Amino acid sequence: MKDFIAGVTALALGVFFIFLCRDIPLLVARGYPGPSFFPLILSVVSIICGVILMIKSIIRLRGSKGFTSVLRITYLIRRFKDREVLNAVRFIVMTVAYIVLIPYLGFLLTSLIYMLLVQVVYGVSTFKALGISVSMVFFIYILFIGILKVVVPEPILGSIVFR
Amino acid sequence: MSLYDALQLALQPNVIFAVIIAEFFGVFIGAMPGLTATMATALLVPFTYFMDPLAGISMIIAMATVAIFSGDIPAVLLKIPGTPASAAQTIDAYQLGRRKPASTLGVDLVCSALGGLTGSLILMFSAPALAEFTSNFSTVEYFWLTLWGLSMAIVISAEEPIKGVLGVVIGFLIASIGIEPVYGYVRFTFGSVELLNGISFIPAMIGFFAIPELLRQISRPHERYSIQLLKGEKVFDLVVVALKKFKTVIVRSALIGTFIGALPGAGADIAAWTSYGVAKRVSKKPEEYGKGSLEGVVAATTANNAAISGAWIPTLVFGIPGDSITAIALGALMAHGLRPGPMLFERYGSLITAFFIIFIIANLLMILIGYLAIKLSTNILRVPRNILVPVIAVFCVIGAYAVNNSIFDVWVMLVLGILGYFMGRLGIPIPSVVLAIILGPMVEFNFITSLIKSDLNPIVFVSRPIAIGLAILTIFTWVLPFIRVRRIRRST
Repeated sequence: MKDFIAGVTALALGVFFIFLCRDIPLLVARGYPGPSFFPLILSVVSIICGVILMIKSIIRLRGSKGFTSVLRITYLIRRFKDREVLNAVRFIVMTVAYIVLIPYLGFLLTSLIYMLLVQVVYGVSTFKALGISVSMVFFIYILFIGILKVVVPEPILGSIVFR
Repeated sequence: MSLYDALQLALQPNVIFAVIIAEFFGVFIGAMPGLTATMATALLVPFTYFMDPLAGISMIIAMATVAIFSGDIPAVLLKIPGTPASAAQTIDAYQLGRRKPASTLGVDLVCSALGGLTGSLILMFSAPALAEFTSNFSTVEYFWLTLWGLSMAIVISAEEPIKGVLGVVIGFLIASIGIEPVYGYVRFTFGSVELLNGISFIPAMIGFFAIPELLRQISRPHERYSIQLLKGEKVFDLVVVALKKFKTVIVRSALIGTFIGALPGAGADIAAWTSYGVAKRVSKKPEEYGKGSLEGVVAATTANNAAISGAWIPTLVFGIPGDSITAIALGALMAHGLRPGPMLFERYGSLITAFFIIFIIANLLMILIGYLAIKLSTNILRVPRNILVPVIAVFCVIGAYAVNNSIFDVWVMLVLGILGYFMGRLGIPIPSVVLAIILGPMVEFNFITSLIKSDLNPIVFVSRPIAIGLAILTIFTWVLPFIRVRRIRRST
């Protein structure tokens, strides 16, 4: 199953980059290799890898239950309901929201909310999570902004937050 | 330029302070199962931008040195390797640790330091000589050298070579985004100004090495370990006996570790496995391996720390990273204007010698900090991952942002991190991708430039003796997996 997905991905990647290369010169003056020469070779290698991986996985899975489950959408739904995958997806969603909010609320406030939220969602008590988040934000402020002079994103909503 | 100048540089208070801080950071990350030394390096590198080059690079050296040792702490106490480099000796270390955990870790610590010191001395003497030898290399030699580096990454890091090839292709394609290296043509930017200079290296490294680890950790946020408690024994109880009994094993493992570390793409984990395998083969008591062999632990732990120093040889001399840690460190060197190669040794001789001295200091200091880590190990291992993960994620964001002060880089980190997570699940090796991101533009530049210089004459690639040697080495690397498969088939 893994090889089949890897194969399809490699195939799609190769085709996508060949498509992107259509407007980039393959050869330049006097027939020297142009800017799309290497990407095109790599795209072809990607397609070849993809086809080999797909064929290998089909041969391996043919006749077994695994092969039919590849074709069934229920497989994907079952994978999605898998607790481990769900935990990872929840974390990705919260991190995306965190990055989206940084320019609006500023780095420090958003980080405080993010750390608090992730800890609470994954089972840390609110009080403990709040304590850890506040101390970490304080630590980040002292170390990165105070000592290392790292520039962190400031809020575009003005002075409603301290940074 | 003299050793005295280098010593003066290396012994500056700010540098020593940076080394100590980095060692504590390395101990913590290395001891946490699942968090790797590579991830710690990726997190550390952006902040080294804000320091002077010596302090910054010293932090990376010290952190990696200690993290590889402290990866053995959970191996002894939990039967879980803290970093992949500790996997080879985990079963033996755990079996030994059931009887004497503290003294097993004591032997581990001293052998790690000895391995690291041997590797550092070899690095110190071999790198400048190699650099002088390579000063006459042309684009042709560099083409073969970089191609060989990539080939090694494919052969060594992937369980299936085809997935290694796929990893290299993906890395190459990521590296091809932005301004093309020969003609300055803009490729695959989709009109984005941020992509003109290509994918930022450090955010990409944080993405590839830190985010997948965090996702794996948060997938099982409530997993708890049963920790083997230290039993009030002395940490250095077994050291003298072990050093006397296994002196040959230590020397051999340090040499194996340094050599394997110096091969492009082969890291501390491969060095540990190879050294463990060799030690078992020549051991008088091979039946003890896997059941608590101190010899096995000594062999693997000496080699993995020696490999950390060895990996810097090709990094500093050719600009070809020996492992994923040096791949990231290469980005830090470049950011400080230190371009690896023969010129680096000519222009910054004292600074480079100071790096070598830092290796020695880091390994010596490791004995002290490692001792404290052993004493505090049960507390370190009790930090819950549902607290650790969001904190590290915030560090990832600030690290990715700090390099260019750009939120775009933070998105790059997240997208590549998610990509890295799924690639890991599909068995595509991340180190191959990273090595291709670094070496890809070099291969392309040296290949096209050589062809232009020779007016499209392909003979140019085998026109010089060293180029022929490197070409044979590269082709041999490609053929090696097929020879191995044939031998296995014959033997079965």
